Amino acid sequence: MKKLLYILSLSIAFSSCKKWVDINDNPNSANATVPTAEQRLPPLIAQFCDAYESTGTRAAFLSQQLAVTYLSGGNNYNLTGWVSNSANIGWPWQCWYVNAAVNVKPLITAAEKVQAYHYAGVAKIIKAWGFGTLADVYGVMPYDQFDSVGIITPKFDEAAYIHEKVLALLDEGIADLQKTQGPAAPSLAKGDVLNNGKTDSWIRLAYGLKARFLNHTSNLPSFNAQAVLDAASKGPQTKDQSTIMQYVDEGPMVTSTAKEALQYSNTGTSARITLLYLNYLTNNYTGAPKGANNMEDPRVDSLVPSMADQNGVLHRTQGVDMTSGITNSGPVSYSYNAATNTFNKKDSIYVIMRKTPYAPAATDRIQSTGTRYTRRNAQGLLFTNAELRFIEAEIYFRQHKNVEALAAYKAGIQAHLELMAIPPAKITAFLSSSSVEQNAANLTLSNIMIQKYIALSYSPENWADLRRMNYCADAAGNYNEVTGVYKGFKRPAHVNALNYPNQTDWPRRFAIASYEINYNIEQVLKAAPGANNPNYITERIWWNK
Amino acid sequence: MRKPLRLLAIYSLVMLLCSISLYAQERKAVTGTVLSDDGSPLPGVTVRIKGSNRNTQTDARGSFRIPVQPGESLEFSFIGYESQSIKPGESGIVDVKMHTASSALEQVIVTGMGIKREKKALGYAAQDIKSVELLKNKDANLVNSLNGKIAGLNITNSGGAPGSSASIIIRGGTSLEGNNQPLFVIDGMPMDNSTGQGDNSAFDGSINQSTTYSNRAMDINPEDIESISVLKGPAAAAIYGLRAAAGAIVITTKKGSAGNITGTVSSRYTTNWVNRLPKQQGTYKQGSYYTGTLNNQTAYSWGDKFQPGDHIYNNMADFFKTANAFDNSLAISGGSQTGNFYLSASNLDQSGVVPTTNFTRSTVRFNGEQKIGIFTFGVNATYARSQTQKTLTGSGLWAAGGSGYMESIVAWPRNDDMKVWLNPDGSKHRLLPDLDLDLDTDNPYWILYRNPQSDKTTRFIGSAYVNAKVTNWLDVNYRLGVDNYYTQLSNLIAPGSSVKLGWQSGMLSETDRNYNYVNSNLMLTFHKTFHKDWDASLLLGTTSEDTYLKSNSARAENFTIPNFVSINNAAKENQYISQGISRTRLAGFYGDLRLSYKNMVYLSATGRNDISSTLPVKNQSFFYSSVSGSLVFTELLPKNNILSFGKVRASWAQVGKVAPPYQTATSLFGPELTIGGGFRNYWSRGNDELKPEATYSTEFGTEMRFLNGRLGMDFTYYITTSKDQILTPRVSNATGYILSSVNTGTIENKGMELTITATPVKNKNFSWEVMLNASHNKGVVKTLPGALPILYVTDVHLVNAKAASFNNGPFMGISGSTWQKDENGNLLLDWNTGYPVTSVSTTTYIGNREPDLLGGLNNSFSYKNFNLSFLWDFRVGGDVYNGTDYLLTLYGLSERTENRNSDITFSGVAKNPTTGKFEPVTKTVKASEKYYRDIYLNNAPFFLEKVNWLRLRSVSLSYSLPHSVLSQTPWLRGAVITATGTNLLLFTNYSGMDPETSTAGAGVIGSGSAGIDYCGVPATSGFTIGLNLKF
Repeated sequence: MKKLLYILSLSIAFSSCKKWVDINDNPNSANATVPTAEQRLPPLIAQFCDAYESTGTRAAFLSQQLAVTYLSGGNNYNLTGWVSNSANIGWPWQCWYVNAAVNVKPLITAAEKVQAYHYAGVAKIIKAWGFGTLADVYGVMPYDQFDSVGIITPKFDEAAYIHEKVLALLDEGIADLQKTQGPAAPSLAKGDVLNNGKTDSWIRLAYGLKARFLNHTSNLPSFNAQAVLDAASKGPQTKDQSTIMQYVDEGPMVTSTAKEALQYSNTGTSARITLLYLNYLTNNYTGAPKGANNMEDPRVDSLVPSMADQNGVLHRTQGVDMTSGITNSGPVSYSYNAATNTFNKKDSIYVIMRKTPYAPAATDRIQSTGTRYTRRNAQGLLFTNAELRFIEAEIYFRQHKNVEALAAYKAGIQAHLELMAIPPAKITAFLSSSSVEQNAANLTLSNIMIQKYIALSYSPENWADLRRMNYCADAAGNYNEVTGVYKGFKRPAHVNALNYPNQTDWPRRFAIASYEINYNIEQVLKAAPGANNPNYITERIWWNK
Repeated sequence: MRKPLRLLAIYSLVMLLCSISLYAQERKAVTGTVLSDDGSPLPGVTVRIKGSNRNTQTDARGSFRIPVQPGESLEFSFIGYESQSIKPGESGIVDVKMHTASSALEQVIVTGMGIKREKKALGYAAQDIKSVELLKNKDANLVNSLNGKIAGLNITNSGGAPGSSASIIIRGGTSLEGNNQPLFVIDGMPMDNSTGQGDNSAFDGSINQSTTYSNRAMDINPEDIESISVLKGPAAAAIYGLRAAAGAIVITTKKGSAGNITGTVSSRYTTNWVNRLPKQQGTYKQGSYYTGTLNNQTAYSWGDKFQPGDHIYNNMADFFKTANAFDNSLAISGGSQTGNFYLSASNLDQSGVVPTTNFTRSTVRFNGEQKIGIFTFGVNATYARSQTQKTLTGSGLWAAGGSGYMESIVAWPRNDDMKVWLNPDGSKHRLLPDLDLDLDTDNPYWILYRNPQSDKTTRFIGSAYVNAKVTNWLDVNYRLGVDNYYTQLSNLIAPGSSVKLGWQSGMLSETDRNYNYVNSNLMLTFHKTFHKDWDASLLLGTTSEDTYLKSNSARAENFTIPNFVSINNAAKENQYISQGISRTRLAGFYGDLRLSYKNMVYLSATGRNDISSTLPVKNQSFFYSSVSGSLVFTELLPKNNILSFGKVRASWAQVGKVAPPYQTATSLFGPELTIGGGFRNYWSRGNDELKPEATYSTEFGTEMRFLNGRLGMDFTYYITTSKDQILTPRVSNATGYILSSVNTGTIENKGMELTITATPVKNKNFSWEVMLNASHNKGVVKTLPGALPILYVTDVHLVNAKAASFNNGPFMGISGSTWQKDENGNLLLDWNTGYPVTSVSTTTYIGNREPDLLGGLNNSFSYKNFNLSFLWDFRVGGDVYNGTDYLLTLYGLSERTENRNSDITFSGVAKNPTTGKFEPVTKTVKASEKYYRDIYLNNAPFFLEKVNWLRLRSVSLSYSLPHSVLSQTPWLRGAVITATGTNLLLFTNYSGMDPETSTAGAGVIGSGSAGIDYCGVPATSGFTIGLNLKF
C-alpha cells in the first residue's frame, strides 16, 4: 500500500515534470500550418515574381539587351561575358525553391480546407510557371522529390520530364479556377496581388503559358503547331487580359527594396543599354524594314534612358558595343558634380537606367530619364498578349502563311506599343509606316523575332528564343549574318575562353547553383555528368538539341 | 530495463527522503578534534578502529566520538590527506592535525557534481590544473591558459584581437552540427560559455567569420580560480547530463581558510605585438590585365611593375601597433572555525594590436561559507562587466558590411598609401573613385574609425547552497544557482561607406540580449563501510534547468542627420525591430553508486534520466548510464621502490544530447514587407520525429608511478561514438529549405592520451619538474543522413575551400575544387589552350584539419626563491588552409604570383577534337593573370599545408622575497615578482600567419573553423611583468 502511494506520487511528480518542460512552441513565429490561403498567396506571388524577373534580368545580360559597368569578376559582368557560374545564377534557384515554391503545398492545403479552389488553382499555375521557366534555363532540376519529407538530396529531373508535369499542372489549375468556391472560402481578390482576383486572367495566363512552353519544342519532330495556336487562342488577347505585376514606389527615402520593381533593383546603377538593343529598336540591322515612309519607333524613349546636356537638351544613351572591345575595361561608372555641372568620366555617354534625380526640379540637370521597365513603380510584364501574337507570327511564318504571319507580327507590335502606353494616334502612324514591314512577302523571321525581342525586354523568354533560333549562327554554330535570325548578335569581346573555347560555342544553359554543387553533388552528377566542367554552360537543353 | 531502473532510482530517492530516521549508537568513548594543516577543523574524516570495521566520521567542527577498547588504536583517513594512526592515551582525548598529502598517490580531484575524489579511485581519465599553474601564463581568456597543459585538449585561439574567443575540444568533436565544446561548471553550477551571441546576420549582416566575439568563460577572473578539473570523456561527465557529452571543465573558485585574514594584491603590465604577418610581393602595382587591356579601377595588383623611384608602401606592417594591457586584482580572505570568506575584485584593460580595438573587464567575487549545527550554508557569487571594441574583419553577409578591415589590409595595393583615408577637406578618400560606391573597397582606417562594432556584457553568476550532515552516513546538499547576463551589441555603418545601397547613408544596429539560467540541484549522498574493507557510497539527485534567452534588435537605415548616431535618427519606415525568445527546460534524475574494496578495487555506476523540452513530446524522456572501474594492482604486489603505484582502469558510458529549441516544427517569415504582406515558410525545416542523440564511450587507461613517485605515467585509449546526430545541415535548396533538421549521422573518435611527469632533481634548494603530455585523436564520420556526401560548417565558406565533414571520411575535413584528372591520375589539359581543365565543383576532399599529435612540455625549475618555467607546445600534422594567401593570390599580392607571365609547362592528357580520344600532351603556356585567377586559384590544394609547429607558449621567471626580508616587514607576508613571455618562439613549416587559427571563432558549430586561415586578426606575442603581494 505504502509502495503504491509512493509510485502514485512519483508518477504525479513525473507528469508534472512533463508539463513543466512542455514549452517548445516557438514564441517568435507561428507554426507553418497556421496561415490561411489569403495570407499565403501574396508572398508566393511576390517571391515568384522575384525568381522569375531575376531570371529575366540574367537572361537580359546573356541576351545582350543589357551591358554592365566593368568590374573584373563581378557577377553581372561575368554574365555579359556569357559566364554563368554557381554564384551569379544562384539567386533565381534559391528564390524559387526556398522563398516561393515551398509555399505552394501549404497554400493548397489551407485553401482546400475551406474549398478555396481559386487559390489552389492559382498556386498550381504559379508552380507550373516557375518550374517551367527554371527548367528551361537550368536544363535539369529536382521536381518529383522537391519538398519531400525525409529527402535532403532530391534527385534531379530532366527538363523534358518537368515540361510534361508543368502542362498537366496548368490544366489542373484551369480546372480549379473554373470551380465554384465553397461558402466559407475567401474571394480570390483578397490575396491576389497580381490579377486582382480575376479568374479569367489566370485561366488565360495558364493557356498562354501552355502556348509558350509548347512552342519551345518547335525544333523537335514531335512539335504540334496547332496545339500552340489553340492554346494561344485561349490566352490573353488584350492588354487587360495580360498578367502584369504593378510594383510600388515608396520613394527614395525608404531603404527597403521589397515593393519596388525587380528590374529597378536588379539593373541598379551599373546596367547599361547595349548597342544591339538600341540598333534593334531603331531598325538598324541587316534586313530591317525600311522605306520612304520611315518613322522612329515611338517606344524608344520608354525603353532607353536619356541625359540632358548642359543646355538642358536631352540626348539618348549610347549603346555599349559588346563586340568592340570596350567591355574589356569599360564602361566605367561615373558621377555627377552639381557644382560644376559636369560628369567625371566620358563614359557618362552610357547613361544609367535609373531616373536621376528622382524628382528633378526645373533647374536640375536630368542625369537620366530612366526607362519604363526600370522605374521603382514599373510594371512587370510577366505574360502579355504581345508574346502570343509573336508566337502566332512565328508559326504562321514557318507554315508559309505570310499574310497571317504579317497580321500577327503587326498585332504583336501594336500590343506592346499599347502596353507601353503609346498614344493611339502614334501607334497607328507607326504601324502603317515603312519601319514596320507592310508586305507579307518581304516579312522575315528576323523581323518577327527582333520585334518579339523588344516586346519581351527583360523576359526570360528572350533567351529561350535566342537559343531556339540558334542566335545568329548557322547549323555549324558559326556566326552568319545571312542566314542567322538575330542579326548582329555576336560573341562579346570579353567572352571567357575557359568556358567558350570555340567560336561555335554559345550560352545554352545556366550553371548549376552552388547550393546543389555543395550539398547535392551526387544527384547533380547523375543528371548532368558534365556539370563540373567550365563549358557545361554550352551544353544544349532538351528542346535545343 | 530502462524503466525499472529509472523507477528504482526514483523510488529509493523518495523512500530516503520520506524516511530519514536518526539513530544513535553510543557507549563509552574516546573523543577529539581533527584539524587541518592551517588549524581549521576538518569535517568528514573517517576515524576507524584499526583492524575492525567500527568507524565514525568527524562532524562539522571536526569533532568525533568513538568507543574504544583498551589496546586498540585509531586510524584517521581523509582524502587528500596523509592517513595517521594514533593510540589513545589515558585522557581519552585525541586531537589530531592532518597533513595534506604530498605524494601524487593521494591526489584529490574535483569530479562530477563537485565531489572530491581520490584520483586513484577513478575509472576514467581526469586531469586538473591548479591556480599557480593557470596563472603562469595568465590570459584574459582562461581557456587560453589551459593550452598545452592537459593531454587531449585541443584549444584554438581565434586570433589576436582583444576579447576574441578560443575554442576547446576534448577528444575530438562528437557532434557534426552541434556545439562540441565541453560543459563549463563553476562551483557546482553549469555556466554558459557560448560564443558568437552577436551573430545576427539576417538582421545586421554581421557574421561570425567577419568579426570577433568572446566566449563567455572570459567573464571569469582567472585569479579567482583555485583549480580546474578537466573531465575528459562522457564517463567522467555523465552525471552532468546531456550538456556534458563533450566532457566538462569543472572550475572551483577560491575559499577563505581559518586563521589569519589574508590580503592579496596583484598587478600585471603586458605588452603585445603581432607575431607573424603574411608576405606580399613588392614588384607589381595596382591594375589588371585580365582582359588584355590595363585597367586601374581595381584593387587588384596585377598591374605594371614598380619603377625606380616609385614608393612601395608597407601598408600591412605599418598598420599594426604595439598593444598594452593593465591587469590589477585584489582579494581578501579569511575564516574561523565555523566560517570562511573570499572577496575579490579585478580590472583588466587591454588594447589591441589593431588601432581602436580593446577589451576591458571588471569583476567582483564573493565566496562565503558558514557552519551552523549540522548545516553548512554557502554562497558563491561573481559579477563581471566586460566590453569589446572591434569592427568587421571581413565582409558581412551579402557583403552587406562592405569589406572588412583585414580583407582590405591583406589586399591593399602597395603603390597606394593606405594611411590616407581622408581627403584634406575631411571627405572620404576613395581607392576606386570610378566605381559605384558599393563596389569600392573601404580603407581599413575608415572601417575602424567610422564603422565600429562593440559589445558590452554585464553578468552575474551566483549560487547558494546548504549542506546537511544528517548522520554520519547521509549528507544532503541543495544548491540553487543563477547565471544571468545582459549583452548590448552595437554595429555602425557610417554614411559614405562602400556597402550595399540601402546602407550607404548610414546603418546602426543595436541588439540587447538577456540570458537567464536557473539551476536547482538536490543531492543525497549515502556512504557506508562494510566488513571493514568495503566502502560504499550512493549518490542520488535531481536537477532542473531553466534557460531563457531574449534578444531585442533594432536597426535604423538612412540617417536623417548624416553623422548623428542614433536608432531614432531615421524615418519610421527605415527602422526595423526584431525579437527572438528562446526557452529550454530540462529535468534530470541521477544516481551514482560507488564501491571500493581495500583501496584496491573501485567500481562505479551512474544512471541519469533527462526530460528535455526541446524534443517532441514522445521522445522527451530518456535514460543513459555509465560504469567504470579501476584496480590498483600494486596493492597485490610486494612493496617496492621501483613501481610504487600502478593502476588499470576501464569505463563505458553513454550520454544523450538534445536539439536546440523550436526545431520540431517549421516556422514562418512574416508578415512580409513585399506587396500584400502575408506569410511564408521559414528557411529551416522542422522535424517532429527528432530523438535524442547518443554518445557512447569506451575507455581504458593505466597510471603508474615509479621511484617513489619521481616518475609517473598516465595513458588512456578511448573510442567515442556519437549516433543519431541531431543536425540542421545546409541542404539542397530543392528541398524547399536552406537548412533541414534531421536525426542521423555517426561520428567515431578514437584516440590516446599520454602524460609523463618527472621530478629529475629535488633537493632542499633546487628542484626540477617536467610534465609532458601528448594526444592523438582521429575523428571519422560514419553515416551521413540521406546520402548527403558532405556536411559543411555554416560560416566557414571560402570561395574554393570549405570546412567539411565527409561521409566515411574525416570529421574535420576540407573540401575544395581541384584540377580535373583522368582515372589514371593524369592531369586533364585543354587541347587548344594547354591549360589544366578546372572544375566548378568545390566538393572534392582535399585535406584533414585534425592534427596527428598535439602536446605540451612543461618544465619548472626552482632554485631557492626563483622559479623558472617554460611551456612548449607542439603539433604534428593536420592541414591548414591558407585562405589568406588565396586572397593575396587573387589580388596579385602573393609572392607566388611574382613570376607572373613566365612560361609554365604542364604534362597530362588532352582530348584530341578530331579523334575524340585522349592523348598524352606536354604544353608550355603563360602564367598570366588570367591563368592565376581562373585556373591556378581553382586548385585548392595549392593553398593547403600540412602543419607542424613547436611553440614556446610561455616562459615565466618569478622571484619570491625570502623570509629574511619579509620578517623585517611584518605587514607583508609574501611578495612575488614575475616576468612572463608568451608566444616568443614559433618554429613552423607554415608559410602564413600563426597556424593556430580559426577564422570564424569558437562559436562555430560542428567541425568548427580551426585550420582555416582567412584574414583573421594576427596572433600576438607578449611580455608581461607582474607583482603579487600578500598581506
